[in-house]
Amino acid sequence: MTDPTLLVLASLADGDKHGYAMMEDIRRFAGVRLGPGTLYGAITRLEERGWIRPVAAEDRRRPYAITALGRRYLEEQVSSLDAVVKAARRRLKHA
Amino acid sequence: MKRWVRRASYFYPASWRKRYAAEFDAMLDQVDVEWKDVFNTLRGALTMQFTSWNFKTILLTFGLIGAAIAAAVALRIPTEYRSMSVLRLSGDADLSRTTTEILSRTSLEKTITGSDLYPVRRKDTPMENIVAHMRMHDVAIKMLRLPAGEKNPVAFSISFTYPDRKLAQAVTRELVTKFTEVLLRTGSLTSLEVLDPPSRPAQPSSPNRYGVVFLGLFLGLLTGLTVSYALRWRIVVVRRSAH
Repeated sequence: MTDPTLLVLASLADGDKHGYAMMEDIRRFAGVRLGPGTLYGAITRLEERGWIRPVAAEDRRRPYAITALGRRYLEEQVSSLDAVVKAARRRLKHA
Repeated sequence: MKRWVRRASYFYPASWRKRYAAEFDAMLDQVDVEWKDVFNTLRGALTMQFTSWNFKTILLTFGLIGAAIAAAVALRIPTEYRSMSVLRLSGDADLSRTTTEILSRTSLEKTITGSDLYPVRRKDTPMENIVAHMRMHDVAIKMLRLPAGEKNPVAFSISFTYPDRKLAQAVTRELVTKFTEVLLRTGSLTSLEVLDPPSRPAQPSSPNRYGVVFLGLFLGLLTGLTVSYALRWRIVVVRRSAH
C-alpha cells in the first residue's frame, strides 16, 4: 500500500502529528519514505476534503488531526483492503 | 540540498505558499534531504499549479510553450532556396532516358565535386549516400503540362534546392544544360525552348517557419486540452471516492 493519503490517515489514526513526525512514522510502519512534495500534496488534499484538520501550533511546525470523516474513510478503506488480503491468503492456501 | 528543495517549493501556487510554506520549511529543517526530494517537490508544485489553474490558463500556457519550442526548432532548421527553370520541347524525345542519365551517379557526382556542394557532409558521409540524398530530396524534374493537339509538346521544370541561393541557381543552370545536351543527342526534337531561365531565389523555399510555429501552437493547445481534461477527470474520480 503506497497511497500517500491512506498512509497519512493511518499515521494520524493514533494521534496528532506534524509533517516530519508523519514522515518518520510512515517510514517505520509502512517502510515507505514519502518525499516532501508527496507528503504535502496528500496533506493539502486531505485538508480540502475535510479528512484532517490543523490543530494549534506551538512553533512553525503545524500538527494535524484526523477528523471523524477521515476516520470513517480510513475504516472503509482498511475493511476493503482486509477483504482483499483475506481472499488472497485463502486462495494462496488452496493453490 | 535543502536550498534546492526550498527553491523548488517556490513553484507552488501563491495561495498554497501562504498557507503551508512556514510548516513546509519547518519540516525541511528536520528532514535529511536527498536529490530526489528536489524533483519530488518540483513535481508536487507543478501538479498543484495545474490543478489550481482554470481551463483557459492551462490551454494558453501549453499553447505558448508549444509555440516557443516550435520556434526554437524552426530557427535551427537550415534555410534552403529553390532555383527553378521551365523548358518546353516538341518532337520525339526520350525523357525517361534523359532523366536517368542526368540523375545518374556519375553525372551528379561530377556536379557535386565541380560546384563543391555539401562540403560538411562530404567529410564523413560516403559519396553514394550524398548522391542518393541529392537525387531524392534536392533535384526535382517535373512534368508541368501536356496539352492535346500538338505533337508531343511537353513542358517540364527542373529545380534544385540548396542553402546557398547562388549555388542553387548555378547547379540548376548546369542541370538544364546537361538536360538539353542529352535530349539533343538522343532524340529528334523539332523545338526546345527555355521558357524560364534558372531563377535566383529571393525568398527561402523552406522551412516554413510560421507553419512550424503554428503546428507547435496547435500541438501545445492539444496537450493543454488533454491535461485539462485529465485533471478534471482526476478531480471527479477523487470526489467520487470521497463520497
